[in-house]
Order: sequence, then C-alpha cells, then structure tokens
Amino acid sequence: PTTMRIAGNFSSSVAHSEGIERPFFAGLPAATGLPLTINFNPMDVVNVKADDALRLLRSGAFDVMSVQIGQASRDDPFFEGIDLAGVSTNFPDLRKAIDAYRQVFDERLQKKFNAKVLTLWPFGPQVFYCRKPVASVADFNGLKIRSFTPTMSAMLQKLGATPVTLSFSEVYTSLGSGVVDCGVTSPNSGNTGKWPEVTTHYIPLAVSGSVQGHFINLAYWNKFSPAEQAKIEAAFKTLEQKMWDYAVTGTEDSQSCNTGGPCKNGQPFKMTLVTPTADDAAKIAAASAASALPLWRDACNKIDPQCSATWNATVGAARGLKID
Amino acid sequence: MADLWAAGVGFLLLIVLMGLGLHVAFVMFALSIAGAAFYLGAPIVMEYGTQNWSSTNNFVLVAVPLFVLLGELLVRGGFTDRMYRSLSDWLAPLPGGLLHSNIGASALFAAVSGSSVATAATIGTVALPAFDKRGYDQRMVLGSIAAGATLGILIPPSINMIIYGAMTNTSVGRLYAAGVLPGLVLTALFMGVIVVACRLKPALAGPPEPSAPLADKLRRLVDLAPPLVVFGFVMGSIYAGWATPTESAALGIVVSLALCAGYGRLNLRMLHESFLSTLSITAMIMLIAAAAFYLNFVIGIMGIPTLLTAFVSSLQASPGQMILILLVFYLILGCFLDALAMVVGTIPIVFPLIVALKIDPVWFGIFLVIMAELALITPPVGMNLYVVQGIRKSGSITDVIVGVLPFLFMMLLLVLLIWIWPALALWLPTRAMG
Amino acid sequence: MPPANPISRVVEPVARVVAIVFGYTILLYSVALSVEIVGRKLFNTSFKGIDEVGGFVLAISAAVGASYTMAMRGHTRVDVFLVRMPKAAQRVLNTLAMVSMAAFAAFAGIRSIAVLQETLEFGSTSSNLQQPLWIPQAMWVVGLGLFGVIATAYAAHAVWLLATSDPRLNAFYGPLTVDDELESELASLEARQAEEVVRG
Ligand code: NA
Ligand code: NA
Repeated sequence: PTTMRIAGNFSSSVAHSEGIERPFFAGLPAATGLPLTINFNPMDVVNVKADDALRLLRSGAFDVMSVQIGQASRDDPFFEGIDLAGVSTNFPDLRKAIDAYRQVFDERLQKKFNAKVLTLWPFGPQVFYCRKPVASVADFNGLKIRSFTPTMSAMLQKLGATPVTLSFSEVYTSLGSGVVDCGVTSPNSGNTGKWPEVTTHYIPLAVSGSVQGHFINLAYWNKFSPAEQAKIEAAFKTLEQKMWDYAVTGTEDSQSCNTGGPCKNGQPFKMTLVTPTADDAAKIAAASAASALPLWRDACNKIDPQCSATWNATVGAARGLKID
Repeated sequence: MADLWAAGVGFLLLIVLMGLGLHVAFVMFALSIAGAAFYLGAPIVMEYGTQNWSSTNNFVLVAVPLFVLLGELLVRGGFTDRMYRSLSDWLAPLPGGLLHSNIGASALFAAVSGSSVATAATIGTVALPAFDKRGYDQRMVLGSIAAGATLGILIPPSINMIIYGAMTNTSVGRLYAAGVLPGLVLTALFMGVIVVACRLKPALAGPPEPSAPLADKLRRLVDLAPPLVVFGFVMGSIYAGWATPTESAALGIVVSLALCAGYGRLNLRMLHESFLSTLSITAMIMLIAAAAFYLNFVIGIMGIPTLLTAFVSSLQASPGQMILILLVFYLILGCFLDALAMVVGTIPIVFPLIVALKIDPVWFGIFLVIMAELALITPPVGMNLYVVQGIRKSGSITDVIVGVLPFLFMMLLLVLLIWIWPALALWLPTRAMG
Repeated sequence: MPPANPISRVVEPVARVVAIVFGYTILLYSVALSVEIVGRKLFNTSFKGIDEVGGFVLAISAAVGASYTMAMRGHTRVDVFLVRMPKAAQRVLNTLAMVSMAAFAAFAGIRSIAVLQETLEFGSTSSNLQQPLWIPQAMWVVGLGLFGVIATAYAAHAVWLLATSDPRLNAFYGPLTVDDELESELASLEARQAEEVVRG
C-alpha cells in the first residue's frame, strides 16, 4: 500500500475542503481499487502557503495538492493565463478557455515542475461586495477595492478604482470599518465568510473564475502502472465534475442567499442585488484588454518569449481575443 | 504513521530539552526535524527553507517590530517616567496608595506596548525606586509590578495576539477589540484586590502622604497625554476605518517619533538604542515563531492534531469541560515553558480542537492570552518574576512569588468571568466591526 | 563586568551596524506605511504591494537581526534549572546549547540557499509588485548565512573552552542572567533621569 499525501483546499472553504475533497480522498482507495493510505489535510491546517504549491509539488513534499493557480503563478506567470481578469466572465466561456489551455498547461507543469494536472475547475466567479451604493461599473470610480492579483489591480485601476492589497484575515474587518469600500471574492466564499454582514451591495460581475486544480507529483504518478493511472484519472474526473457542479449550483444558491432570495445551503442575508448590464460587461472586457492582458504578456514573455503566442493560439482563439 | 504515544514522548522531550537550557527555538526546530525525518521523509525535512521564508515573509507579523520600536521610543523618550509620576498624583490617595500607580501605569503603558516583559522592565525600573523608604510591604510592591505588567499583552496592542492571529487566520483587529474589556476588568480586579488587602491590613501600604498641590497635579496631568495620544492614533485608526492593525503600528511610530522630537528627546543615540533593542527582540521572537510554524507543518502532516481531536471527541467532552481541561493544562505548562513558546508551541495541536468544538477563535485567543499572562508570573519559569527581581537586585525571589499570588487569583477570576460571560470579550469586537 | 568574549569583540560591532541599518529600514517603512494610510483615506491613492514590502522587511530584519541577538545572548533559553546544576554540567550543557544553535543556524542558512536557487531557476516574481523575488531573498540568505557563520564560530569557541577546561566557558556561554539584561535597562533610566535634571 502506498501513502498518498495530500494538501487540500483552505479549511475556510468548508464546502470544497470538507464537503467534497475529504470524502473524495477517503473514498479514493475504494473507487480505484488501489491499496492507498490517505493522508489528507487542508493546506492552511498544515501551514502551507498557496504561493509555494508548485515548489512543494516539485520536491515531492506532497503527492497531490489542491493548487490556487493565481497565487502559484508567482513561480510561473504562464499558469495565470488560464484565467486572466476580465477574460471569461461566465461559466461557458470559462469552460472553453480551460479546455483550450489544458494541454499546454499540463505540458509545462510536467516539464518545469515535475507535476501533472488531474483536475481544473473554478472556485466560482469573483464578484464584488461593496459597503457603498453602487449601481453600475461607473460607480467603482473612486472606490477602494481589495485586490489580490496584479492583473486584477491593473483592471480595477483602469476602471478608476483604487486597488488595495490586504491580507485575507483582515478583509472582513476592513470592510466593516471602511478601510476598503469593496471586496472581491466568490459568492460562496463571501457567504461563508459572512461578508454580507459588513457590506450592502452585491454586484455579480465576474472578473475571473478563480481557477484551481489538483496536481500530482510526477515521480509519484509514475509509480503506478498505466492501468492504475487510468483508474486514478477516472476517479479525479468525478472530482472535477463535482467541483464544477458546486461552482454552478453553489454560486446560484449563495447569490440568492446573499440577496434575500430563497436559501438552501448558505446563510440568508439581505444585500441589494445590483444586476450588471451588457454595458457593464463590455466595460470590464475593455478594461481587461487595455490593462490586465498587456501586464500579463510582459510578465510572461519575460520567462518564455512564446508565452503570449501560445495564449493567442489557445485561450485567445477559444474566446476570440488576441494579445498584441 | 505517528500515534499519540509518539506525540506524548515528543512533548515530554520538548519540556525536558528546554529545561536543560537549550535554546527554545532550537528545541522546537529539532523536534520538528526529528519527526519529519522519522515519519515523513527527506522532502519534508528539506522544506524547512521554503517554510522559513513563507512564515517570516508575513505582513501581519510586521506589527511585531513596529510595536517593539514604538514602545522603545516612548520609554527612551522619557514619557513613561513622567506618566508614572502623574498617575501617582491621582492614585496615591486610594487605600493602597502608590501600589495603584503600579497597576495604573502598567495598564496605560500596556495601551502602547505589545509586550508584558517590556512593560515589567519599564514600569519596574520607574516604579521601584519610588518605594524606597516609604514603608510599603515589599511583597505587595513587587507583586503589583510583576502582575500588573502582564496587562501588556491583554490590553491592545499585543504581540501575542498578532502571532495568534497570524497562526490561526484570526483577525487581529477583532482580537484587539476583544482584549479591551477583559483588560480593563483585570485592571479593576488588581486595584480591587489592593484596596481589600490594604483595608484588611493597613500596614501593607505606607503612611498616607501629603498630596501635592492641586496646581502641580493639574500641570503634570499633561504627562498622561503622550501615551494616550499614541493609543488614540493606533486604536482610533483601526476602528475609524483608516488602517489595518499592522498599519496602525506604523502610525504609532510616526506619532511617537513626533512626540520625541517635540519634547526635544530625539537624538541619534536614543534612536540607535531603540533600533538595537527592536532588532534583537524581533529576531528572538521570529526565530521562535518560524520554528513553531515549521512544527505546525510537520505535526500537521504527521496527523497528530487529527489524532488528538479524535481522541478528545471520543471523550465526548463539552466545550465547557474542554476549557477546564485546557485551563489546567496551560496552568501547568505555563509553570515550565516560556510564555511565547507555550502559545506558539501548542496552537498547532490545540487550535484544531477549538475549531472542532466550535469555540469562538477570538474568544479562545483572549483565553490563551490570559493563560500566557499567568505563565509570566508562575514559578519556576516566569519571566516577569525574574525581571522584577532583577531590577530589585536584593532579597529573595520568594518575595516576588508570594507577592503575585493575590493577583494570580484575580487572573483566574477573570478566566471564570469570560467563561461565564463570553460577551465580556466578544461584545466589543461584534459592536465595533459587525 | 565579566571578561569580554573574544568572538563577540569581533562579531558585535559588525552585527550592531547591520542591526542599526535595518532599524532605519523599519523606521522608513513605517513612515511609508503612514503615508499609505493617509493617502488612501484622503487622496484615494494606494501604493500597490506595500504589504508585500513589509513582509520582506520583516523576513530580512529577522534574519540579519539573529546575529546581533546571538552576540547579545538574546535568544531565549530557560535558565532556572540550568543555573542550579553543578558547574561541570553547566559547562557541558552550555556547549551543547551553542553547538545545537550553530547546527540550527547552519541548516537554516543552507536551506535558504536552496530557496533562492529555485527562485532564480523559475525567475519567480513577487505576488503583488511582480518584481524579481531573488532580490529580497538574496538579502535574506545573506542574513541567515551570517547567522550560520557567527553561530558556528561561537560553537567552535565553546567546544574549545570545554576541551581546554577554560574556566570562562560558563561566563561566556551561560544564559544571559536577568541581572545582565537589566544592567542596560537601569543605565537607560539613569540617563533619562540625568537628562530630566539637566532640563529642570
Ligand atoms: Na499592550
Ligand atoms: Na511560568
């Protein structure tokens, strides 16, 4: 029997970590028929920082990791290309982008970080929770908005907002006291973290899908026979599907819970729902094209001159976009 | 896989090796490495570098050097000395006289200092000479300083709260707010026990002193302003929505620096001395913190917290019983461990229990800080006892130990109070930040 | 005053200068952070990634400060049991404390080099500012390397004193007694009071 050591999603994302991952990994030996001993811990419980994911996978410190791609891109901006701010603002578009990028993504992961893709899925659309009345994207002008990636900061700045970087543990209190006016997170995370207690306006304008993945250390992977690998891959396909399903249904439920609608699994709140118009979506897309994409191009091409060309041929082609 | 016996042996080794006088940071590091090498393999051992970078490259913890520097500037700027004198003007008429100044000055200095040991050293050096030939009971004097100084980590700002917040992802802003009322209650309890003791046995306090002329007292009242102004900027900026707790520390430094300059106390020598103290204390704390973060990483993967949580759940203890067990656990542990080492060394195993029992992490943070305060004044290992004894430079340490006893009971009473009324800790953070 | 440790006579002045430099860095950083607070509230501007810089300042300060703390014998040790043991046992334990600290510091230093190597290999950039990560990490490595070298020198010296039955071992490498620590505290108080008197 082989031990499989796993660093899972943040324990604060209860639905992902406890609701889906823990039971999935507990059932993995049965599902694959392999004599695996499972060692599963949410990454924050074992003091693992999301930024270090690719290094920890490469060294074999963990066999399988749940990776926050945005943060792990510190070690290679190429990966962030799967989900740049403002590129895919709904699930069907995001699905197309991920499918298009998957192969080049996996190749690079194998070559550079000694790891392989098992799943790729969105945490959920990254939406705005504001403590000030906002009716449209135009109202972001002059607001302080908490941002956590450089491309998001660039896009927010383009929209006239002031991006502010804060550590996650202080976001709730900073929204409460007014250090920032808006925070960006997924409907699920915001609901679980009780952000509606300290904000009033909910704006479901997805700036990104916050794509995550489960990656496996390649040396560990190669210990299995092709037949065993097929079983493992099949099992992880079901995990990927569960994560996608949750992103869709959980998002709907949390959004409804946040804004006083029917509420199944989340906590009910009464935020004002601000429905974005087509004009708003267009403004987001324009801001992204003008700021986030060039910023990412410069960072990524520095590491790999083919970077933006690869992106144009994959995500760009799938989404009808081009980085010059 | 490790079992609870291995964990127990490791824990015992932790205490024995620390008792042998090896460096606290090394002991935590060595046990982590041993656990990793024995149970988890080379990659986890080698990961120390990545862990060390990622745990010390931490914005929340920047507040540690900032608050140390802030306290150093105020002490070396001479503000504490004058603050003590002015407080004495007003508190000395109470039954117990100057003893109240020790508590009051500790509480006020605590409002700008993040460390109890710093508070003990500062208030001790300022206060002890004032008691020469005044006929106070030595033990009461020493006890009131050693115990009063523990307020340094309960009344915000607090280095222990910052580190707890960083290790458990709890908002430092909420922890600060939660510490205010218990801090004030403990100050009142300390003063109360002095009043009661001195009523029962007037010989404990010196003879009543002629009050200074009211004009002088009023004139010296301005000496209370500098620490209050700094506190106002630090806490005010957090709750008025200007700054996060870490950022507020920076504002405190700039204000202190301005005060030092305004009072003509700013010079290169005091600035450099403040820097040296700050770097020295920061490096000491961060070396221990980094080892504790790595310990968390290793024993987490070893599954020890999970095993322990399962074991405790099998006992079916209620949260109340759990707190009682932890109270005894920390009281005993606090006798033998350095207070900071105790907090950071036990968070990896105890915090998962707290989460599993659905105990509020902010409330538990306050509980843990009070237990750390107790650890500072319980023998044989109690830093504040030795600091105060060291300033005194004569007599036996027993005087200090006996002197803190009445105050120690007040701390236990405070634990009981926050246990019965969790709102004592949680009302203000809920009120202040939703 | 006990006889001065010959290693400290070399180490302390260097470590002191480095510590003061980083003291200024911390001061400068707090000024920048204050400007950020005011600028954000009043003028709606924000230095992106100033929190990230703070993390770097802390990691580097803690690394470079470790040497000065070592020279000042400031790293926490529990001394209550130790000081009650026979002098011969103290000699062994004090040597052990120095040797184990050196092993710790050397390991930390060596592993930090591996972190820097990976950063250089990947061309990693900092998460918010997207500046090369090797710059702060290289300073961190130098700080930890210095700590490793200094701790090793102290350990070698302690072993030598133990081997040659030198009576000064416990005075040099015993835990700093509270008396020693308060010496400076009281000196500082006296200095403040003297100033007070001068000012009237
Ligand atoms: Na304090
Ligand atoms: Na103690």
